[in-house]
Amino acid sequence: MLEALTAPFQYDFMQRAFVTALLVGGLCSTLGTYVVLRKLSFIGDGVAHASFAGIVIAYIRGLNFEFGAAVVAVLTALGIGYINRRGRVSLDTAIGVLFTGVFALGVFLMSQVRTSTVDLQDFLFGNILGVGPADLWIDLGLAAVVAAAVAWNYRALLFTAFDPTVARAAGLPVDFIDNMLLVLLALTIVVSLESIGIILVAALLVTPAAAAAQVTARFVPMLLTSAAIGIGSCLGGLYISYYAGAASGATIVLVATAAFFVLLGVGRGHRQASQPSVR
Amino acid sequence: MFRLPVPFVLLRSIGLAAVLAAWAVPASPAPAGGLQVLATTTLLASIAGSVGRGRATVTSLMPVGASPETYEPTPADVVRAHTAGLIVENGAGLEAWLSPLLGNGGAHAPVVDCSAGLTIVDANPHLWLDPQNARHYVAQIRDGMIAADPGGAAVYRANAAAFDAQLDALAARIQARIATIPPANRNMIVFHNAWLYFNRRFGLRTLGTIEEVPGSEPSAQHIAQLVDAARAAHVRAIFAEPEYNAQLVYAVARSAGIPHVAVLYDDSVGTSPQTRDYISMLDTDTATIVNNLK
Repeated sequence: MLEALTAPFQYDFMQRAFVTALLVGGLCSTLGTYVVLRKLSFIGDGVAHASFAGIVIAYIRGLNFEFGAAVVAVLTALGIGYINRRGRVSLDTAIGVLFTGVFALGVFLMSQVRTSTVDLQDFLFGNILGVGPADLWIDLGLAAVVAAAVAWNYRALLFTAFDPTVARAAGLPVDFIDNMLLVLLALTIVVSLESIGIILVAALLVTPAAAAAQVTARFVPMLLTSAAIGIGSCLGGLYISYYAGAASGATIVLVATAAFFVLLGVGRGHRQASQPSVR
Repeated sequence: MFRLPVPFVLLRSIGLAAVLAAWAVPASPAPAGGLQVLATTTLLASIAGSVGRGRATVTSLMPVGASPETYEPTPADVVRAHTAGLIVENGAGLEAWLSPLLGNGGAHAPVVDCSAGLTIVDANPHLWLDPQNARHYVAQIRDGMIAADPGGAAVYRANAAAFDAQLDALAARIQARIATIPPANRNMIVFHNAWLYFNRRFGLRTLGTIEEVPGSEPSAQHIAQLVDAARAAHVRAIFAEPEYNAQLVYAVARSAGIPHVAVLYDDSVGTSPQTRDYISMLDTDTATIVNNLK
């Protein structure tokens, strides 16, 4: 049994995958608590696809791909916040409008480049098994920045996440907090994308927090449960992928999805036991 | 890889509009400027260009560097297919997007299937990387050009014979260079199994591929097995493709202690000065393989 747990660690690509799972899994599922409470579930997909336009522009201009992706991701995130405030539409609609628009811009520009030598989407999307030492340091730096920003604005973020209207009435800088959250999310998504790929980022931003919300409505327990589910799914998924010979990203997502359904059942039982149904 | 279906739906409908537009264009008579040949890839255009030199005008449907497995045709491509006098395709399943484009676009041009008559192994379409197969491609293209433009038969025959001799010399040259690699070192790990036919012809061993099926994400177990196999065989080099992210290639190289990571060109010519045509591409690739495995 112990050997089964340690066997994957003889490969350094697996060691790096496990460390990345701890870092990025923890980071995404922690931010996921805000994502789920603020109804931003499609931000992962949205920003990831929008950043494609960034690497196309970077490719055409001969700039660094990651830089192009990050700039467009941050601008898209701020644009989502702006449309939400000015356009009288919900955040998910703002995401829908901007992400398809910016992604289409990327596809349009790409079709104008008649001599591409690379599959740019492939260059944007990484795989957790291929994380290099440099990726690891970048992920670590980002995790530190996000943790510091969240800790520093903890109360304001909490208040805004649960009830933006009341938070605004209480005099909190809700727009600033929202923009900060969107920028942190955009950076997290772009950086995670390059080390672990799009399906994993999109799922880790939503599923662990949604699962945690089934068993608790209090913020700190939700945040901790979400982080535990995120990290646990990454570790468990990597082991299953190693022994079952299945795609790693997809396996991790399926473990998280299974955790969600288990907690959905637990949560139902819990609520029925503690609060008898009114109906 | 996970991609959204939305843009595909969009592209499909744009494609349909283009098809309808192309249909409305009256069929043009045979162009006065000689036979217009449309090859699907830049590599096939390079081969067909050698056969049609001095008489046929050969262009490539796909731009330089595009991947034939995943290509999405544009409206202009439909129009070009419609006006071509002869279409040259690889076949063997490489251009899955081509037949709807031709059928729905109302293209009347005959299609040369270069790989027809060759033995296809494991549904792998990369037959052209064996120069002996490329000689078959030349014969197929020559016959197709003669059928479409009988007046140029003499030109096409002479060109084909000359190019066939060059391919024969290329095969001998590659064989001689591969022979300089110590037999114990003749193991390759590649990104896709594009090198199947090349390796069978020249006695190299494909020890493993990172993506077994193009676009399918490998498992941790698969990467671990590659690392084990590479360590056991003391593999000297691992080969990436310029079109794709080499992140996993480097991960395997680091884990297995493989000293060299190199890039091989397999389906597109013109992406660099060393790969301006079919023959220079294979010469470049052979040099890369020999230098890294020796």
